[in-house]
Amino acid sequence: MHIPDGFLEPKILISTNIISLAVVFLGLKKLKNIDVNRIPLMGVLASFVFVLQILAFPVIGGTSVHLEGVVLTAILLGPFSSSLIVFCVLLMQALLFQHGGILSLGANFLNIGIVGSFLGYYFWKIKPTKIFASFATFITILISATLCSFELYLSNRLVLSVGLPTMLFSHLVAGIIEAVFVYGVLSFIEKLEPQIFKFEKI
Amino acid sequence: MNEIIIEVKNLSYKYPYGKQALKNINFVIREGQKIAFLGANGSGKTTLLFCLVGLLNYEGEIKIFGKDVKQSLKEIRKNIGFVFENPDDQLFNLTVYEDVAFSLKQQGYNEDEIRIKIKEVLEKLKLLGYEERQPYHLSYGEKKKVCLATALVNSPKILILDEPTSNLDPASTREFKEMIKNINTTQIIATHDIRFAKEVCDSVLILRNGEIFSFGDISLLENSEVLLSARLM
Amino acid sequence: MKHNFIDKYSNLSCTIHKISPKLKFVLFLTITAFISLFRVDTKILVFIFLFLIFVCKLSKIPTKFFLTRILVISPFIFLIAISYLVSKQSFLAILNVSLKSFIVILSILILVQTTRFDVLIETLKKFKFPKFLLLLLSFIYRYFFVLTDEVEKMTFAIKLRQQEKLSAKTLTKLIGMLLIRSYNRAERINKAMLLRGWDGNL
Repeated sequence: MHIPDGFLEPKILISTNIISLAVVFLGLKKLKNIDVNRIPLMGVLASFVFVLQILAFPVIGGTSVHLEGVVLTAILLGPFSSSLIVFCVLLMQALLFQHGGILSLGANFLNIGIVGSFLGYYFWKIKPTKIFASFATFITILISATLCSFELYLSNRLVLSVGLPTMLFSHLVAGIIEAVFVYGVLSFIEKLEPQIFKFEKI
Repeated sequence: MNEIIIEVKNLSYKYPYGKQALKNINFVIREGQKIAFLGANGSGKTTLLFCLVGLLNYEGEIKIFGKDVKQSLKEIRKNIGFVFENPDDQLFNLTVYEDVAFSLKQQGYNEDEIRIKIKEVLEKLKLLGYEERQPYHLSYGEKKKVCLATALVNSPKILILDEPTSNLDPASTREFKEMIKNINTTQIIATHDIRFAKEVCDSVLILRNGEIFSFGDISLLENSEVLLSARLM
Repeated sequence: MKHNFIDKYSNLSCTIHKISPKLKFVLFLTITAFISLFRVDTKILVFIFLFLIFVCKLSKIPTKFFLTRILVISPFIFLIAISYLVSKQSFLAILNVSLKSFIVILSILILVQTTRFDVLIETLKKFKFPKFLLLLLSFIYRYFFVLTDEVEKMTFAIKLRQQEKLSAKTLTKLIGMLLIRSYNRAERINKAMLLRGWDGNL
């Protein structure tokens, strides 16, 4: 869930932005002298994630859900690379579609980018199987929803007893769909282009 | 006879996944020559081009301007203009100006020098006024011309074109052909278009299954037996 | 296929378009920060909101367009409204929060729809935005059209062979295919960059 501007109190804005900017700068530092061949790949994959998040995945009854794809980039390129990619995607979404705010970028990046990239990466590191990755995806989506609810609650915009269950419930379906999707895409690329997995994970 | 500018000895290349793409390639290209690389799909044309510019880890020896390609990559690439088959692979910047300026910026030219060189090359290719245009929104023919501009802006000694007329309509093909004919550098043109090759080039190298099938004067292409055997017809 | 819907009005020419992008950017940041970090009286918010609507009209952005963008966050407002009602806060408080979001949305929209994207990137560069991130943003924009075209072609090809609505399984394969094509494209772009003398220096 992308939180728009105006919905978070200064203390939440400041704290989430500090964490997010720290991760971004750490990522920039780690990627400073990377292999030249990696850079266009990060660029095109960032565009891929951006396009992916626009596509609507059909669910029963004519409704649809939007995918994130964060765990995928984390598995292919590592947590910091994935973080930077997602940061830029979120920034683009805020700029071009006004989907998610600019000052609330810190909170959205924390919920979606940091959680998805680091959890997704470490789960894969522990056990690099498709099932475990799907499970990781499901968990990260629920954690994102929880964090989002708490950020809004601490900004006095949300009553937890109403908001948290609503958030979790609505993200349950999205979580399952994304988990299945991650499983499907991983099997697909495993078969057709296994070389994608060979990049160094930073 | 003109100086040898490209010398290839015992070149071979195997893909990481095992297929032997090129075998026993030996040839020499002289300054000012305009040579067509012909061959059926999968014959190794593009692979050979990529080896010449040091993009692939080949076996054997390739010397350009007398220097080993693997040892002097940067210097050699400064003097070669390469036009890829798909313009969206080559035009990765946000404006035409930025794309044409890219190689100049890498070489350290300052803003004023860059502006002058870009104006010159755009004028030559009838692309003045396109500087602020976005590459994606150009027509296919316009994109191809911009690709050519990015290659020519460096005043290269060798111009390499990979399938320059694929997907171009007849009028654009004609326009492109005239432009190429007016460029006086050594040229290597990988193409399927035999007519184009006959009109623009003076020599030909025909590849079949990764090996040189034929090499010599462009008049070779008049021989239909040769063309059939090389699966060009 | 021509897609310029993501910033289709940025190529128009009128007063607002001609204002220095640096100025627009600073104004936008100021408004966002002011709105997000301070308590602002609802009357002032209404004034700013109406002023921005006026600017939108001045920059020839169609009313339907910017109204749709404002309404995109309505599910969010709905959620917050429920919470406010449950915690017995006034309607005025809901209005205050909503106006804050609308204002930031309009200011981003004005900035982006009256400034060409490459100029926007140049402006960010002047404000010392990290170059690596600018490269990612440029790639996202540049290849957005290419990738959406590929999705369109693949969708069309699938529809010719199957039913009108894409099944989830097919969509997964389509996305897997898009990922692989993106990877292959990145390899080719990388070659093009190397041949133009690039050594990883931004």
